[in-house]
Amino acid sequence: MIDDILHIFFPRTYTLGNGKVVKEKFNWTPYITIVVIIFSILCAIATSVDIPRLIQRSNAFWDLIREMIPPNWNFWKDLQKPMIDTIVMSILGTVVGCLIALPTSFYLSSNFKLNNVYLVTHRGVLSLLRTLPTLVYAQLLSIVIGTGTLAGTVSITIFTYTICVKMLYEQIETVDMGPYEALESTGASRAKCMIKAIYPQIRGYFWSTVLYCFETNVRSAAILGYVGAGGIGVQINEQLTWRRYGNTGLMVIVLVITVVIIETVSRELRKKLVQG
Amino acid sequence: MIKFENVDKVYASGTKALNQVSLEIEQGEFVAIIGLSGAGKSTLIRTINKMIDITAGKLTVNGIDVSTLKGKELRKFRRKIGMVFQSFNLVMRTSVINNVLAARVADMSLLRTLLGLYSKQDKIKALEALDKVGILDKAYSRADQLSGGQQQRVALARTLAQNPEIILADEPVAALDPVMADVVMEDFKRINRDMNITVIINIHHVDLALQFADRIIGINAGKIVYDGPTKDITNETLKMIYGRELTDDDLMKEKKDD
Amino acid sequence: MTNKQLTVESQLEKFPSVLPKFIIGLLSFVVFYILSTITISFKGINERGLMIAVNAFKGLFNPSMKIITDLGKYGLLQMLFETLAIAFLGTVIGLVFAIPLAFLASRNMFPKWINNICLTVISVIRAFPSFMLGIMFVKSIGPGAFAGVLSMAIGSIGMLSKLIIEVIEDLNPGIAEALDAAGCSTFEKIRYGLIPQLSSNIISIVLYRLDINVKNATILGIVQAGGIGAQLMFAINARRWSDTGAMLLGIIFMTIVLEYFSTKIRAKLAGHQS
Repeated sequence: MIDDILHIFFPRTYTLGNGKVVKEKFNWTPYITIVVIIFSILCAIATSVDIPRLIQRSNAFWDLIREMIPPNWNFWKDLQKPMIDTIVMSILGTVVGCLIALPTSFYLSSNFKLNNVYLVTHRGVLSLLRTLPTLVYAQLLSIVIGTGTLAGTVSITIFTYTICVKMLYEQIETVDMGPYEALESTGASRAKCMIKAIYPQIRGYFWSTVLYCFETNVRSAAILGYVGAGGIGVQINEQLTWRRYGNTGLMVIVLVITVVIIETVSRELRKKLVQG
Repeated sequence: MIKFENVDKVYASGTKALNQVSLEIEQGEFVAIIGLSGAGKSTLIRTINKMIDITAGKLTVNGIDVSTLKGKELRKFRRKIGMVFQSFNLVMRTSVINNVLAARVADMSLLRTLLGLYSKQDKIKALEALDKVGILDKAYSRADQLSGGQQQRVALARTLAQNPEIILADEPVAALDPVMADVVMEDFKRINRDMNITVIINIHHVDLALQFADRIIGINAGKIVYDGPTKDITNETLKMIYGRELTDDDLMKEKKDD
Repeated sequence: MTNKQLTVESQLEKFPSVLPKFIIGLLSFVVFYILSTITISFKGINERGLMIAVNAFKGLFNPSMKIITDLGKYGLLQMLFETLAIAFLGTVIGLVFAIPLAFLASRNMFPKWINNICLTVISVIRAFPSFMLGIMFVKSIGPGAFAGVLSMAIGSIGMLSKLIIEVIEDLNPGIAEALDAAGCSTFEKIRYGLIPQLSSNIISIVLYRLDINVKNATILGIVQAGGIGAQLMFAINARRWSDTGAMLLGIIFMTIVLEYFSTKIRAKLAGHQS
């Protein structure tokens, strides 16, 4: 038994009948598991994981959930405008973000041998900005341009832009440059060649990306209101603060249904788009 | 008239692709350039519309020094020169007519290009070009639904829609079967004859070159080793151009004894 | 075969009209315009905003060295570590629940009716907005990183399960048969047959989810569930731009470093797959 355990950690060396020596391959898994366990314990300390408290307070948690069912259907009339706001913010933000991303992505792809310094810096800045969640932009913007849906829409636009541009220029770099060369030889300018020879090749992927960004944005748009940037987030903050869990329950249902519908429709459309 | 005067092309890697090339090609000629792969055929043809820059010598087209062209002037210059490629270079996902109309965007504003607003004249010109190569009926089919030979004819129609004075073709029939190759070469011949367009074709199928061209230019390791009418070519000259006996790969159809 | 009179003129007439596209474009534009006017108001933009923006810029690009070098409780390092800890622990705990759930939901492991129950459970968990979960935990268990860990754990179960199911269902049954034929015990079959096939895939999936969770951890912080997000929100609300700059820098740095290693390791794992 101890032998078995040791065997897990240290590979054995076998000597075959004909004198050949074979060493078992070194297996990382047990070591990784130990490291993970140790690190997890460290993290648990850092985050003040408190199991007793969890057990104590878990009743509070289940009470909360119990109060969310049944949801308060009357609250729906107060939710309508925020939900519309949320969805509209997502639509506008996604569309504007992607529309700006489309022409920019051409100039960020390496196919066209544009200024290398420009390429590296712009891409570098974009990869930095891409790490910030929409909510951070929303916080910053709600202070600068005021709370409300404008801040939310602009944050979604910025975030969408950073993602969309990368997806597009990566796609453009896989494209067939033959038609581009052909159009160049007819004397068309670079922009026209991009429009007529490259865009048709990525058109399906572009719209698929727009839908993908929209899906992601609707989810994050729901939170934006929490920091004052419009949409249903405002209500989430309010209702939970006032412990109106019946209303919260309704919001959960509305959000879940909306997200599921949008994701299903989007998935179907995207499948079709990438084929065409 | 296309005039090469002691033109050299040395690539950054040090390869000398063109070595003291001097030629004159008059308007309306049908010229075939033959030689081994890598001998410089592609480079030669691409210097004419400045897709490749020369490194020494002088190259003029109708009096214009090609090396001085850039930007807007270069684009204006290229409009008069059409190019046909071995791999057709069509946009597969759009219709045939859209592919041909793409040749017109060089003359259109950026806005109209973006919106795809072609004038009636443009559409007529495109359709007439398709008619001239005999595939008017395929105008609204998607490009990837056509056979290889048909696709190349679309590419040819695209160049015709430019109203070119010169057509450059880089191995236009290499990807086609012998029957279609014949058809496409006939198209080139007919266009050259009926419209007085200079046709310069890179081709490694010697039999086709001899069959269709009026004038043969043989190139070997970047140097012009033969430049004269087709009827004067003999087996000896071919051996000199290729540096070896011809093989079946150099012919499109069955090796003929001549 | 009918004799069609095919001419340039007849084909010209068949040219697809641009009108439908034009109408769609115009309609979309009108719809957008209407939508934006009913939802967005521009009255928030004023001179004060511009002044704030300028100050913000100056501060953001002048990150607070004090926070960066502080190794104590309010220092950047600890904040980042707390965020990372939330993400890591949340992912690990999520994994602990996701693996058995995934097995139960796999078609090649358990009968269909069990599969369907588990798949439904997974879908429900996935659809639940994770930040709301965070707020709920904060309200019941109390604010702080612990609430963050719990919400992250539950939030991860969904995606982890879904991806692990795909891996399990892709398993090569031939290996299990071969081991059976060689007379292996169940333990040996799992150790030599199952685990090698699964482990590199699962590690890949976990790293992928870890990346996402690190980003989400920042968001959770904003709802008081611990991590750098909470401090970030305080700093921004208090207009402490220098501090904000330092924290944003920290977030960007941590995310990029993690993404880098995660991508490298995942590429290596994919390369080693037999």
